[in-house]
Amino acid sequence: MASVKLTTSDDKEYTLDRELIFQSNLIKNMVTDLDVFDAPIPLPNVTSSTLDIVIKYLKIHKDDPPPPDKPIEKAVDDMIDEDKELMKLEFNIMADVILAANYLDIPGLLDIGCRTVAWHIKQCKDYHEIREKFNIPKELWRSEEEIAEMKKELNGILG
Amino acid sequence: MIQRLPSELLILVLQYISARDIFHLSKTNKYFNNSLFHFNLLLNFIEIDKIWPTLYIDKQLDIFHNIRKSFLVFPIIEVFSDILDIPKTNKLIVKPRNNFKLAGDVVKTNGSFDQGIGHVEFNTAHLYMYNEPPFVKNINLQLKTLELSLCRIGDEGILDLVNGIQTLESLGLGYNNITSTGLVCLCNHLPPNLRSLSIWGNPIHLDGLEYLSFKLKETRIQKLFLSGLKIGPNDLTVLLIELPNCIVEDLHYQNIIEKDALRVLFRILDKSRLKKLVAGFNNGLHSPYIKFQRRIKYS
Repeated sequence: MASVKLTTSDDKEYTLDRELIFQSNLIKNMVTDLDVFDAPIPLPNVTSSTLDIVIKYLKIHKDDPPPPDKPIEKAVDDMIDEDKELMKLEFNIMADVILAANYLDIPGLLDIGCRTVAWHIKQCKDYHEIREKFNIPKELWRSEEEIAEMKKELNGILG
Repeated sequence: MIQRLPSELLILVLQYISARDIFHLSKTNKYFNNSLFHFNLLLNFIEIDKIWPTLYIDKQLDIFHNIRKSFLVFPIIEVFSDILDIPKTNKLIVKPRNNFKLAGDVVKTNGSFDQGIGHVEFNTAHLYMYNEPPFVKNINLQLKTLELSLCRIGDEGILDLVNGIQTLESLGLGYNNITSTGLVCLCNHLPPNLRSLSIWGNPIHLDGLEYLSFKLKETRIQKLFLSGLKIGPNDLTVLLIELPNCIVEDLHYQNIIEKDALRVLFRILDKSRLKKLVAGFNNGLHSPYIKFQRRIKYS
């Protein structure tokens, strides 16, 4: 079986079955269009730890039929147990996985990633909880510089 | 973590959460507030159709949104944030109409929302909100009337408001804790077709009134409501001397007026275009002009 070589951003090389990695539209297009089977494909936006998770997903879904052209609307937690287990990740790693899925163009993984984030948002009662859960910094509505500039402008007008 | 997601991925997440959750997310920080409520983002990325059904399912809201592409929907969510927390057994029906009135106090005092049509009317031309801190930042519709009395807007709110009010013909900002600074900012961004301006009950001092007077001649304001300001008994003079140069026809000025200002007032009346003047001497007991302690209506 033909294989494809990938190199992650931390210089780790992976050799993966073509059928498995072809769930990534990016890799599929690169390989078929450019006919690069031997040379490793660099993935500058993906670390090895993230790629490991991506590979786990690909293995779970290797026998899935190709996704429909028009996405089917699903409930936020409508996913198989293996996917749920896979997405039990720290939020930062989850963000890496979502970004990797987007970069590698794996619609299924992107979808479950987004739905997992949405599920976590839905569990929060209010914005305080969202802020705390996702560690979102509370920024000022305006920067000090903006406020100072406004005051200066208004003082100029007022003389 | 979420803030690391670019807009196009954030939108994918938003498709799975209700409008209420989007509202909460928008309140977490400046980035999300800007991202989630920004008009262009909405138009470009969010398909409102995908959000409203979620809202419908989650909260049993029945929204007839023929304005769905208008981003006034998001100010509504802001105003309705309390309503969205109502038990699921309640049902709210909002039918957009040609005469929209959204009065926060009415909405709040009604326990049942089953007859929501009667309480909440909705329209893109006229917007009235009372006793609610509205999301005024991005109002960018073809609004002609905007009444925001008692909405706790303040000077900072004015800075946000002025960007989106250029289509207005009537603006009401009574009792919003706006100071001279806010008024100056407002004066610099007055809508070109504004006919009526109400700033009654705000802590505006002489400098603010002075600047408004100076700017009046560049505007089309015909009705001016200036009662209850924090100005001195003779400060009306600064406005009066500009009256002949502008087209104000209806002036409400119920503040303390004393000797010097009164002299100017009576001298200026014939030279101005005033058709109606409502002036009350609300400090009459201490005023030497106690005999004028009634309203003067000048026609």
